Amino acid sequence: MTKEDIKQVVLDIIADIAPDEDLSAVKSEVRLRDQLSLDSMDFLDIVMERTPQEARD
Amino acid sequence: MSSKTRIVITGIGLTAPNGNSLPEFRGNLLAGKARIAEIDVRHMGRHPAGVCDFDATKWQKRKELRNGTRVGSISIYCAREALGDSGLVWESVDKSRVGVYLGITEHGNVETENEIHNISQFGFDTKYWTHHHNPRTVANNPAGEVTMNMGITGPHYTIGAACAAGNAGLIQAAQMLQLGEVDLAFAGGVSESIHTFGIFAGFKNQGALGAHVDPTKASRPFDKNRNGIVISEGGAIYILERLEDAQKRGARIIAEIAGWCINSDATDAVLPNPERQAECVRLALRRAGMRPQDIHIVSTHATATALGDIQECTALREVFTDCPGTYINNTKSFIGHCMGAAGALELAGNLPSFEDGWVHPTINIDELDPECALPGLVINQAVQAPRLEAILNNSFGMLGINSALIVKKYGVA
Repeated sequence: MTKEDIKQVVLDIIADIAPDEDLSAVKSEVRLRDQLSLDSMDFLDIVMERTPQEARD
Repeated sequence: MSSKTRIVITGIGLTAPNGNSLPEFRGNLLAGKARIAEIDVRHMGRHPAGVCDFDATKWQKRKELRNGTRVGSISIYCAREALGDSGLVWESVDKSRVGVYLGITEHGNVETENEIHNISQFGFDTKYWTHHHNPRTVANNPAGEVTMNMGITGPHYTIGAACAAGNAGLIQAAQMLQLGEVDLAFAGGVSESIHTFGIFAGFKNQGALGAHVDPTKASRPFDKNRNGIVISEGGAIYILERLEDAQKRGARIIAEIAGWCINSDATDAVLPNPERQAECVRLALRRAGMRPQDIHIVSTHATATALGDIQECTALREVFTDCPGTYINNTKSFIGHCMGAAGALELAGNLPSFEDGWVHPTINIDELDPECALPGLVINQAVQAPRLEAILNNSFGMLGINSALIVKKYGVA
């Protein structure tokens, strides 16, 4: 996957978790926490979305 | 600060099965309009229940709704509406001096049942258990979600007091204001209990779950053919302040907290004790500096159980002898039993009587149980009264907890 692919996957997950956030101006070089109203549980949601089931065992 | 510091109500926000604002709620109570639906309860089929239809997205983003709980959502809605009602300029309020005190009957049942149901689809493998479970189920969740939504950095917690919780939330807040712990309090009671099947099952197996072909008639306190409780969700949150602070900012004062009592039966886990209930009411009156004759509305707890209604009437008959100016009503007949929110909602439904001069009835009485006949009981139709200046708000709960809260019209002696 390219960097842009990875960015889009993450943004897609965030769009699902936080549908009211404006993601149009998200910058790759700035921490997500500084750009969006995401808390620790949201970041855990992102990680869990991307963690294969086998890796959770 | 002292116990003599006067505490006043300056804002109210609520959601009830028949109203999402005080004017709407009050209007339906005076018009005799109940609102109980039939809902599907997991493992139990269809049952009558009081369902609220407030707009949860009015004060919450969809992410908050996704991460939080139903009762957290109810709490945020009610707190925000109370704030709007109070006239406070929120940006100017010192958030570290604001407290959130919410009464609950229970918390965590809904989320736990949902998760057990979810993982049952995966052979009960706990790796599928949500990481959201713990923050959703800690007992302070409803109050905590309010602080997160509103940026409040003062104290927050819930008060577990069974069905006396609504009164308990208000009493706790009044005490904290008198102690000087906070300068402003969001206080009341909340409940999401219709979303847990366990509570339905528990009441049904006690023989205490109400039923009727017409769900709006299923909650029938004092009726000879009453057959139990209708479970409902809801919330009512008040803004409480010390009188001098409310006066300083030119607040509209809705009412004044006059006195209270919480005591315990110490007899049975479920069956109420009328002697202790009467004791609770008398002590609240003494603390308020009032006599029974000074109470103009008694808002009863009565949940439409066979024995509970009779026990409360026995207690009231003992205290309120020769009180021709005292009216008695019941709000559960309209909205069912809102559990942790019950006392707080029921008080709210009666408060406008100070201004409009009406007493709303207890409805759904087709045949009054003679053991529940009380002088002053307002049956099926609202009545006008010449003098309405003090309300006694009764709420009693399991494990024998009793609460009596007296609220009076501001400005009267």
